[in-house]
Amino acid sequence: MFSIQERSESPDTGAAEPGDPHVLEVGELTVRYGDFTAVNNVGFTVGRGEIFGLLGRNGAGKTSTIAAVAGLLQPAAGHVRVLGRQLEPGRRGGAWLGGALSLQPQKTSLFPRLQVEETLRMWASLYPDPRPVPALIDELGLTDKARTRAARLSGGQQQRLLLATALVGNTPLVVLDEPTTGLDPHASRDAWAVINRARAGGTTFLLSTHAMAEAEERCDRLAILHEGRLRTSGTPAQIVRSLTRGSTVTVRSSQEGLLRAARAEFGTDAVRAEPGDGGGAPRFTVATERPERAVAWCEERSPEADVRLHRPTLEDAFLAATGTAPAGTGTAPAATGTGAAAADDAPAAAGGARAGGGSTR
Amino acid sequence: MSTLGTSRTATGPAQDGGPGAAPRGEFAALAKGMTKELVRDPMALFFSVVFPVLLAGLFVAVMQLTWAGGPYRIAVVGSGTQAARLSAALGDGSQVTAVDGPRAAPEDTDAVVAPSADGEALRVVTDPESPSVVSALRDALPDTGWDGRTLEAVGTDGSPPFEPMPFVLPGVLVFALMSLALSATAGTLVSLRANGTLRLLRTTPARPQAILTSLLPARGALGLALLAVAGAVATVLGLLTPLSALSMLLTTALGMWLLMSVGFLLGGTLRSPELTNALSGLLTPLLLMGSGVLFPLELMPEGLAEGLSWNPVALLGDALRHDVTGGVTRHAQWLDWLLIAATAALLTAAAVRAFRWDTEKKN
Repeated sequence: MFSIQERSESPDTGAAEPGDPHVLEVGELTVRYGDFTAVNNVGFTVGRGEIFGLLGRNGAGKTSTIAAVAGLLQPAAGHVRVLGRQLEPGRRGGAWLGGALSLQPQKTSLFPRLQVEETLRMWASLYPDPRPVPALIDELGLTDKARTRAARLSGGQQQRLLLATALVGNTPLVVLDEPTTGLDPHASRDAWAVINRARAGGTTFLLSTHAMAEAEERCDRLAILHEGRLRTSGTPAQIVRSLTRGSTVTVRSSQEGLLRAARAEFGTDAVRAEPGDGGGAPRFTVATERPERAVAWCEERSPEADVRLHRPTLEDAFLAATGTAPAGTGTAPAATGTGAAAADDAPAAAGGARAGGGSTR
Repeated sequence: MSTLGTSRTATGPAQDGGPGAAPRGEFAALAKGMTKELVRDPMALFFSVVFPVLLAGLFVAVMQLTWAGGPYRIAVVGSGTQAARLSAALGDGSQVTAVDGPRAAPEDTDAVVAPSADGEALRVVTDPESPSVVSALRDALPDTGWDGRTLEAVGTDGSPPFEPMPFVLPGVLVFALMSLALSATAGTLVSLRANGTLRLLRTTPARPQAILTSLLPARGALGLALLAVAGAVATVLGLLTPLSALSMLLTTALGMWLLMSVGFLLGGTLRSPELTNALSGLLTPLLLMGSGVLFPLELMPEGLAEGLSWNPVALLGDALRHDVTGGVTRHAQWLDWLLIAATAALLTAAAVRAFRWDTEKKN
């Protein structure tokens, strides 16, 4: 339902404080659909010029959080402040937020019979300080499709057009719901180049994604949601460090005494014999903060050994945080807290090195 | 130089007229986009323009083939010269007799033609068994010296005589407007919601009412174009005077308000485009046939016809027919207008209250 009074009401509360570094502040946010709680007491802040990623399994509450931030739904509890202005109950929609925010949602079609350029010109005219349309089309690699109707674009091109509609408003905060889903690696790289240039101009991004490598590489900070709750947040490095055991070295060798020697060298707690996998030589793993030294030591002691170095990734941390880490991934159990620091104190989980995900010999 | 690297001037959200407010051209830009969407939608145009015209053409062709023609026996209250001119103008061997007054007409006369007291109109009393004589007289009028006079036709039993074009024109216009409201408006709104486009537009600074009313200019223009075509045809056929043309404009405007409010009510509440199409496909013939718009109420049992004649679409058809037949309709036109406006206001209020921006469950 829409209210025709929506715009005429004077937004007189929650004005931005001068010097407030937070473009977005989400506090104790709770979103319910009937009896189902999609988002439960989630809070985080996003600073000016940051790229902040929301991670989580399907149904973790990312899209509901984004919808609440965009003013598309009314939280059951908590608050959302964009540039210091608080969304108030009953006031939904972008007209209330003015030109502060733009959104690229998932699974949305634009006007099918409008051409790319027509669509973006229309969208630009809705914002007070839009970006130049032709340049944006060019930067997103859609120049040769500028006169093509949206319905005739490929899936990836439509995704880029959606991204363009989110960027054309030149808003301080851009919210992207899985922005690179469906893009090929080239298009994904182009999209990130555009996002990074916008960020360099001062735009702040809140995005959700399932692409862990992308999130680890591109996001300044991350929050992992699980079953509607915030499991942890921090920089990608902080999250990886807090939720995994660090780098591990896996050694497969039939040389007698190597395991004993490794324990003597690196400590009993750091070296773990792995169960046999039905073939080949016995395996053991070494968890160490100096993995290169462990690799060199193993190769020197046992030149025929298969030695592999595994550095923990955000994906390892994500799997640990969302409770689905398979056995032997070298992850620590996730702490249920609102910051990576909370998880830093978690004891290391039993398990060995995770296969894959790191550099190999 | 990269345009994305440039810093913005807006530093905060809208302060009502401040840097974050939506620009004034938002409605024009949205309306332009919505217009392009409509004119590039072949299905919407087919059902709003082409199909009603084809239907009208088919209807008239069938009527021409099956409609009983002359020669007629006609009595003219006036001189023998006028009777002779009318006979010549009809040119079908009709027997036209001059009489001193309506009561002096022979018993088996198909129609009695009498100039009104002020000389501005021609009153035609017809035998209900020979309704086609009115059309024949209307066609012959320009060659009789009575050119420019209004033809007021009534049956000997007081009922309006059935004429194909005065019946078809309002029917086709209502059909086209209904297609515009149901297929091209309700269907469009439901598709925009189902695709998430409305939801996305809602996150822009555009005002909600600007987003929704931006659908109206294109549809209004198309409705006026349809009215212009219908009005031109009616004028050529001598069915419309300048005054009744103005009246027809008002009737059409009220009718568009009524039907658009139905379109917005359906478009604002239905979830699936398929359901909307199915409902439109069901509602359109039901309303058209059950309102005397494409099927004469006079051919239904009187009790049923009287009941159906009060539904809003029937009132719209009645008001339009009043404009093209010179006043012989079921209800007074002011009553038609009043009831159409009242219904449209109620439906508009309901559409505003019930409108949903997205298909997701509310919390």
